[in-house]
Amino acid sequence: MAHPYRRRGRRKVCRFCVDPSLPLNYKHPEVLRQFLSERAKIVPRRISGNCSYHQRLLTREIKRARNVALLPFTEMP
Amino acid sequence: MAELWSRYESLILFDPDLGEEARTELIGRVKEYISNASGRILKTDHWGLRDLAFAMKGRSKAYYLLVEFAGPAPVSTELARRLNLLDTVLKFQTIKLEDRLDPSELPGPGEEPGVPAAEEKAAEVAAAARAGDVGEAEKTEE
Repeated sequence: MAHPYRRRGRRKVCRFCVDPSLPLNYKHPEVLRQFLSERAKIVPRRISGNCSYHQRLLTREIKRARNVALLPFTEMP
Repeated sequence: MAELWSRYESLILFDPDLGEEARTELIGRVKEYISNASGRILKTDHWGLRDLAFAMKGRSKAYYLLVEFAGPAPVSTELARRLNLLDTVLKFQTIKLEDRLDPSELPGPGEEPGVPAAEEKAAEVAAAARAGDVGEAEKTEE
């Protein structure tokens, strides 16, 4: 019984759970960057598909990276 | 009971306009701040000159230095106090990696926390810097 409003397409998975070797700390801004929007906002979990544990760590690390100018606080697209 | 230590990691952003010599001298001084507060440096990583994600104090680049160290509780506040006094430090961030550590189980000599063997290189750099600029180095002895 298919739900009429069921989302189509690929199921989202937490990239940090799939690949535990993916570094999740402020010293790797290139990884964190992928979880920022064009305006440098943190991408919400419902979009990125991260699990709550990794999203929490991600948020903390992005904020740390911002403090030392490795990531922007804001950016114009 | 012996005092428990914590392990910290500091990322320090130095002024990019500093000359090579002035920078090594400054880095040697920062390391002295840690050892003078009875801390022990475990690792240093020179990231070098990097672009900043946003301009800071009119600079678009900074020299990044990552220092990992361990010490009793006051070491991080003392380092922060000292770094805040330096106008050649654009910004820094210290993160506590681990706490409630037994200092004798840490790498390096347990007896002389001020002069860790792993820091020979740093001592050389500091010594070289001191030889190069005696007047500046003396300030750190206070």
